[in-house]
Amino acid sequence: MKFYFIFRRTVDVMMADELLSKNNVSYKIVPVPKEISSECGLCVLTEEPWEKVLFLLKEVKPIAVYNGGKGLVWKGDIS
Amino acid sequence: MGERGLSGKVIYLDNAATSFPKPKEVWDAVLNYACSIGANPGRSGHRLSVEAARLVFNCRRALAELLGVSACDRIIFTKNATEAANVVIRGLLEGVGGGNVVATCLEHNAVARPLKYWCRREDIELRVVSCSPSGEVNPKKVLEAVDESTIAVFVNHASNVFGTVTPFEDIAAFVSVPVVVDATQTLGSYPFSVGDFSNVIVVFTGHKGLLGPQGTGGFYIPEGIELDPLIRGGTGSNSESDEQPSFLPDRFESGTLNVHGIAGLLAGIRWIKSRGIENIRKHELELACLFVEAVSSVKGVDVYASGDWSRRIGVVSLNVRGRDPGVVSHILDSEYGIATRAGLHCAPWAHRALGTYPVGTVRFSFGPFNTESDVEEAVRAVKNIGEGANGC
Ligand SMILES: Cc1ncc(COP(=O)(O)O)c(C=O)c1O
Repeated sequence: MKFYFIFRRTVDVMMADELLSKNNVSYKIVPVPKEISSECGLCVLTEEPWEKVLFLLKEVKPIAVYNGGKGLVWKGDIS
Repeated sequence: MGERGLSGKVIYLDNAATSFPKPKEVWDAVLNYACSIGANPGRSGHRLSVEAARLVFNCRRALAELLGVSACDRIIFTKNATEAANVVIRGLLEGVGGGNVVATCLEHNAVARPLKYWCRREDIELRVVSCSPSGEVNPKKVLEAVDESTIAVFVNHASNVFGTVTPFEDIAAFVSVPVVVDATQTLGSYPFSVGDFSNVIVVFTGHKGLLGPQGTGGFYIPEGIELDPLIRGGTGSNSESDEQPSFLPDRFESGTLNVHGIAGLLAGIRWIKSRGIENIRKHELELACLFVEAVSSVKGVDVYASGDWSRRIGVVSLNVRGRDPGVVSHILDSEYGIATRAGLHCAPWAHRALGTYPVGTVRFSFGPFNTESDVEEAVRAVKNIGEGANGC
């Protein structure tokens, strides 16, 4: 299953990049899929359990996690 | 080399203007980005674009570490310290109308001119704090100028004319308003840390002590201080909206960054880290000290470098009595192959304070690649010029 982690800023994606590579998570930085948002930008794609990855990324504050074709699985606070 | 053919050896003692040479690693990094990455950071989403975004992020991270702050998203890239100072000054003063700002007399025009402009426009009193005859600003005098109507305080961390350091910590600790520190001359060659201060804004350039290419620089803005950006435009984020993002660093970074320069700047910072700032500082200070000791005894030469060496960087100003500094600098270049800078060094207030206005001084500024033999040659040249001018 493919999970997409969406962030507010490129700098957050880069912080996530730093954290995930440190924690040996298998992931990729990819463009945000068109089905999720029409805005240009990057996101994190992983096939590992989303809860585990979300836990690692807590301090970077993702704004949402999408499950490939099936839509939103988690939504953070947007402030 | 140059159009007129630069031949012969040059002893470069103008590192306060821009550092030269730079470590080879800096140009390797620029070339590596240019030849193997090349993409627009974070804009497109392909691997090269991600790699470019990583590079920019790593430089932000390295700068945050260097400044001693944890929030690397509050490091904003600009093209130099001047642009950074303009964003900060306008951001702090526009629309304020009244009150006062306090600045040291050692401010560079990068700060002094936008300050003057915005103070005039906003009817703000500009209080300039003077220095001692050897170019030292007493933090207590700065604090004495601050009152309840003060909007911000401006401190040049080290003077690009006299090499004297003003300890901004002794000011920031006692005021609640923003303290804008121009760390252009200290980052990379003098210990620096924002520490726990939540009122310290730092502006810096990338091409001096940080050993990066020209066209790099930036500022750090602590949480809780909001500024308007100078320019607005594409950031690769929130593209659906036609409003400028409110979040940092995107708010201030419209348009494609100078990634070639940032790649080099990152390599420069890494080089500094591996050498150790303390070691670089020690080396530059030893050279400056050696130089000052030797030229101080030359008849007819006034050296503006007395005072506390623990609060100095490797920048020394002098004058040969009876000779225009511009002429002295030209002789140094054409007859001795020594590159220095003459004049006001973009800091007219400092020269007014020391009585060297309007002719200025000849400035010798040492860098990590200078050697004792460079100093010996410079001393010999100054002796010859000094003795020639004074008929000995
Ligand atoms: C103290 C100080 N502030 C600001 C600047 C401006 O730097 P830049 O020309 O990179 O904007 C300089 C250098 O010229 C400087 O010495």
